[in-house]
Amino acid sequence: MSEPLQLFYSSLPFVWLLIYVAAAVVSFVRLRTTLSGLILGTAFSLRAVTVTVSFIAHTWVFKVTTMEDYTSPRRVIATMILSFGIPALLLIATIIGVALIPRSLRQLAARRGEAMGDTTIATPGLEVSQGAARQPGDFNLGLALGEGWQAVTRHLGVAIGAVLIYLVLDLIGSFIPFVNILYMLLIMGPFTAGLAILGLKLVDGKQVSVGDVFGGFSQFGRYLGAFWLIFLICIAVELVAVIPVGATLAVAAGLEDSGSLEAGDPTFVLLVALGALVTLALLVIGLALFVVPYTFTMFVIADQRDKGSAVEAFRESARLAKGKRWRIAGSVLLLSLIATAGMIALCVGYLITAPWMMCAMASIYRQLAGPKTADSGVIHAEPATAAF
Amino acid sequence: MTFEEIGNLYSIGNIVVMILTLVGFAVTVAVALLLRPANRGAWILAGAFLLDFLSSVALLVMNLAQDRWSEWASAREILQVASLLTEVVAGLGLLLGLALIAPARKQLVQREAPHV
Repeated sequence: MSEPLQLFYSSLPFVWLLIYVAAAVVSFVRLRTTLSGLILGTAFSLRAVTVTVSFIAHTWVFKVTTMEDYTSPRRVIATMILSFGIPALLLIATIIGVALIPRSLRQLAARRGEAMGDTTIATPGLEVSQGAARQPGDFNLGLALGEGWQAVTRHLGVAIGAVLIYLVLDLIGSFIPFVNILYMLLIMGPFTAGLAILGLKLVDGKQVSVGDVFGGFSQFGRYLGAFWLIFLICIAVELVAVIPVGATLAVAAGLEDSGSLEAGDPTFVLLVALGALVTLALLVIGLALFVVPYTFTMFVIADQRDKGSAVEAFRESARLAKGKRWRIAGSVLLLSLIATAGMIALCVGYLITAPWMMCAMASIYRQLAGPKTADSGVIHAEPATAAF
Repeated sequence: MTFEEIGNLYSIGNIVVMILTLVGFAVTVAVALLLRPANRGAWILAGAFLLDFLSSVALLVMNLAQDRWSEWASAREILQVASLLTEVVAGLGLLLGLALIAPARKQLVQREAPHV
């Protein structure tokens, strides 16, 4: 190993120690004794301690001089704990700390007397941008996340109960032989729509109950039709997207059979990786172009803006998504990631993140479509063409 | 323990860290969106998590391809240094993001204030 490289490796623990100590100090100074300040400050302090202990352990206690030293179970266990176990736990703490930052900032503002509605701290243009986000035809993901959270926490029991019922019945319906075919063909669509109905009701501040998860069965034909149309479009996009990776795999397998290429060869890996990349790109483009515009179909039917037909609901959804496909695609991806993040902690978190994301999606729809009026039923919003 | 067993254990550790950094990225983006428009610090934090994720992907690739890349020692070394450097940059991003995030509180309360 060259001298500069050796210097680089040996200086890394000290660099990390400096970074973690500084991050702990910054957390405590910036976020004070709020919950996120305490969590982040402590997490970074402990990471600094872990780096130090790991350095000491690997330099003196588990020093590698022979192969046996490297493969010693004690050394492996210590490395796993110090390099992955503790850092992973502290990473979870950091994520929780970061998630609590907005709450802590509110507390800090309250402590400093920067009360809500205090016009002396007005930021020029802020009201305009907020107002623009509230214009029907446009949406603000931050606002949707906030509204979604408020909607879920207002009726936490109903939201969790509905998702729990959905998950249990979905599990039963998907795994029992024969029943799973019927479930897939007839039940899944209206059942999934029930979540959209509940999400929209929660965001609109209407009276909700756990039974709303079965609301999709009240307009069985329309929800089933919409579900199957979206499902078939997804299948078509996936079938086209999978062609490049299939083709490269076939070519690579052919070359392997003929003996001109080996399975572990870098050319083989590169060829398959290239095919996978093209497949991924096609999948992203295909979903953004042909699936994202119809994201709001279920909400349109739940909102009774579909004029009685699933096809009309598709048209209305595409109209709402017009000019915002990539923003909606990014939002859906982010919401899915957050919902999946709830799988940590033995899937319990999913009972919170799933209804939260469902309501955030409903809020995006509500922002785009505009509110329903009491007398005429709906206000049809034109898609926003310019930010002003 | 054999080299293969050790490699597998480290790969599992890498995957766990990789998933966590991706979750961290998603959460930070959500926070950044909640703090709009004064979200510079939060966006830097999100970038830091993303860099951390990329670095753990690179380390995982190296772990998984250890046997096959035995002939490409120099390439592996470059990838390792690059991923470690990325990790350091991510750490600095985390630091900078935290330092810049507190001023967002004014915009946050103003945004939630009732419009007069």
